[in-house]
Amino acid sequence: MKNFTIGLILGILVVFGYQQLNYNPSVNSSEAIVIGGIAPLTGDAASLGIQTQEISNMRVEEVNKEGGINGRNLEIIWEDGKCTPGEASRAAQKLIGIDKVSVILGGVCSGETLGATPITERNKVILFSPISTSPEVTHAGDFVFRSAPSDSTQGMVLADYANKHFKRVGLISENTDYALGVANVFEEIFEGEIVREDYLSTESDFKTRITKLKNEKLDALIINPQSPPKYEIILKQLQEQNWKTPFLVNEVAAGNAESSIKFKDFLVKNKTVGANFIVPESDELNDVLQKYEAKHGKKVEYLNYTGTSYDGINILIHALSQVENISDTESIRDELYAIKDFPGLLGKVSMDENGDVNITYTLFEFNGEEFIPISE
Amino acid sequence: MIEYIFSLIIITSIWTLLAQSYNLSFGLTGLFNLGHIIFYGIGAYTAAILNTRYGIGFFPNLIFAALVSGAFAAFFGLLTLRLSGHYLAIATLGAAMIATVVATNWVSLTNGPLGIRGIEEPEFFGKIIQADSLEFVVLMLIIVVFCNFLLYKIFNSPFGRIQRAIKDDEIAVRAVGKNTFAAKSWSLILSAAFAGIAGCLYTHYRLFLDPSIFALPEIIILILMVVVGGRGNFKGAILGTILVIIIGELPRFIGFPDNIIGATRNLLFAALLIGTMFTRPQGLFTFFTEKE
Amino acid sequence: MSELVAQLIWNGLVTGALIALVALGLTLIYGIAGFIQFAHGEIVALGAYNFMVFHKLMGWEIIPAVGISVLIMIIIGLILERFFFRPVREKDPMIPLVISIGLSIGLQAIILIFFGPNILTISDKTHASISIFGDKILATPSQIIAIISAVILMIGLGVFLKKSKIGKYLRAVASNREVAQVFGMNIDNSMKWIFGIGAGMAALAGIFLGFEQNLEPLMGVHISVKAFSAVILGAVGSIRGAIIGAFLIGLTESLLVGMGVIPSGFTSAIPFVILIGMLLLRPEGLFGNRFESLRR
Repeated sequence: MKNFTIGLILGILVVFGYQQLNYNPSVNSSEAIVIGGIAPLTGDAASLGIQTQEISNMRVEEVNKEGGINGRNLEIIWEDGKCTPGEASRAAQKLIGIDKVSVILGGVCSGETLGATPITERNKVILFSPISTSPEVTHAGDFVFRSAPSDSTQGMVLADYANKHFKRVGLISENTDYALGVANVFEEIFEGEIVREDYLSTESDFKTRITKLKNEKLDALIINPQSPPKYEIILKQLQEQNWKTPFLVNEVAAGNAESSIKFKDFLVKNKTVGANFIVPESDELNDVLQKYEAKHGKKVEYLNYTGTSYDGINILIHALSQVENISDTESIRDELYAIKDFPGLLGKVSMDENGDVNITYTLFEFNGEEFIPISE
Repeated sequence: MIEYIFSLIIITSIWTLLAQSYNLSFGLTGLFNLGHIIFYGIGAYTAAILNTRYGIGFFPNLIFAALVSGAFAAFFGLLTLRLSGHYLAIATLGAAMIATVVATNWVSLTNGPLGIRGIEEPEFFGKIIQADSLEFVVLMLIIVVFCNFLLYKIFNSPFGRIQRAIKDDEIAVRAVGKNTFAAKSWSLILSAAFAGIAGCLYTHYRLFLDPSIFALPEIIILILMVVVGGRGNFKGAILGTILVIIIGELPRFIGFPDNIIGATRNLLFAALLIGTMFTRPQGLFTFFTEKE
Repeated sequence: MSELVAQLIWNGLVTGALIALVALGLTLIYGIAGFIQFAHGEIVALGAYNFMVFHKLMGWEIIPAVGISVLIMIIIGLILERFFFRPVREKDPMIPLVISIGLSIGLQAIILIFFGPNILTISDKTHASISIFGDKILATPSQIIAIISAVILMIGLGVFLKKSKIGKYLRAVASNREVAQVFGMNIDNSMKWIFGIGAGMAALAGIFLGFEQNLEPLMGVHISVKAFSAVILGAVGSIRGAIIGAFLIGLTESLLVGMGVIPSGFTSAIPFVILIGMLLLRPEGLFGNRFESLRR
């Protein structure tokens, strides 16, 4: 044991000495501005995360080519949040503790944003989510912002539609912050009966649940997944069980018609309505889409999130350009709260006192090829 | 960079304690318990719940985590210790699966898959000790070295020798009139108490907790650490842990893309585990002959 | 019988048949080699990925694609036996067990590196369901084929072990390895046979599983832990026990959850609750007649 104690003391001394040598308070103002990024780069939700990463990086490259932010280049260090709160909190800890960032772009899944929040708030680090829509994010903290709308309106439009048309509905919902946000708002507003089945992100066999729901004599089924692969497997098993009621789907499903097209006859026959927010046609939007396609050789998968991610990184760049010292996060925070009528892809974006933007959801119907807006 | 080294030291010390606690029941007594991670998780959840609900700080939580985990182990032992060999392995593996399901579904207690957030950092006389700071490193090292010292005493006590004898030949120990069931239960309880402390350290370092703490890969890493060091070899478990953590960090240094770092790491772990079993099944560190 | 119960029983039988295919291999390997093969689940997953490559990516017809995938997995099973398990055969059973745990995470990593973390599907087509038993049950063609082939394989295996020369040989080795060796039986050969048969059945289970759900690197783990329970439930080494254990797990899971007795969130705990409950009552397994400690 003696060796241990000596080793321990030596170790501590070495570490102390190293820290003293390494201590360097002066910040070089010509260095790049480094911010952190948290997004799911692997797993079910990777397609959402990678698109966000690509769009943000594309915009950052452009800004750097045009001279950067007040002469300094911008750089994003990405960490994989895996769509889970735990991984996102680890990522936030790493970005703040090791990379010393004062601004983090992310998370993408609501669970990531909410998982990172306790750590970013305590360290007064800005957390700016370009995609998370859970209602919980609204009151998550003073330094938490987002450029995506809150699901309180998504759950509302779905429930309003259901109130008009259905009395007894089934709700199959993934057990994640995002999906629970939508489900809980829906449950609150919907006046009829709900038969609810929650599932874990690790599950992929829904046969028993579907059999159970089928026996419940429902008017409609609300499908509320966190990611497209889960949406597809649920549809596959519904189709195998000859499901015969209309469907209501959330924005993950309605935001990217590709998954729905694989089941188009089934979905159109039963009638499928989804909630989403409108990205208006504009020259700027076409420009962004073209640049993305030229750079990555593919079309964007999610038009709705393209809008929020692009606006998000732009708002963040604007706020960073307004402050003298980028580690002064309180000034950045104040700049972000002051965002008003910011010209973005989603229209004129304004930030409210909770760090939420003024975007709302509307209803769309699937016609076999795409989701088109309907007025109800 | 220095913070990165700090974070590595902290992670290594938490794992060292966990591996050493596993080394007591799995290595010394020879209980092939694939559910050891349950005790770690229970310690972690005890600390997280006490901290977020009742504001109990890090230091009292160390004791509570050890007590709750130990108490659970007493119950767990009653259910499983009559089994041996593969039956014990699969039953305890199943218990770990059940633990995940319970932690996921008992939402009022654990907040389910969304996890517990907002756990506080340790506070020492009014000073908050930030994760990845030097103070945190020192705090971890002091606790882990102290616990290892206690474990060292246990390993080399008459109690430890009985455990070793049970591993070699349980029937013979029973034949000389020792109650092996009680001895095995105590080994499990002590081992669980230290695992609970490790869980408490993890909680107050990570500041977030969800049911993935019970996940299967964690138990495999734990087996790897103990087996590489040599089952029942006290110093071996420490060196095994350090070796496994260093190997686990290699893919990051070599600069593999993010999405396959995890896979490369597991491939290296698999190679290490299989290589050890083929060449030195008694552990890589057999040259440290223990003074017994 | 109401439609609900009929459909739930059918779902349970499908799950049970898939678990049984995996459990049979495990129990055979345990009987001859004396350890639980933790990497068996990865053979299930690899079988499914293999089939996906031949069927979906290379456009082969279903039957030749099944044939080649099963064949490849049998070869992989034999390779694992030859290079990882044969060298440690005569040692403490802990050693091959730990090696198989290592193989399990290693093979998962290989799947992840080759196929990426994204979730894949085994085929782009969804097949319409067929009503059977007077419209009470909706079944997909792959489910019907899965059950039929599982039953054929189980009966075939039973007949093979009882009647054929190699089968008798295997049973002799399983019941007493030392005595069999004294009588000049070749243990290497019997190891080859059971690893080959086990891997083939596991690959088949993987392909059927792929038709039911998405392909993901951990798909094998989810079913193999259920198969472990089935094997222990019916007493390790027992063929009949493994089959009954598998169907018991499949049916209780489906019926308890489907009838609303247990909330669906608890599904994955059911096999282990049954297992631990049973071990408390009968520590030697449903069909065991000896204590595990005596067997070693």
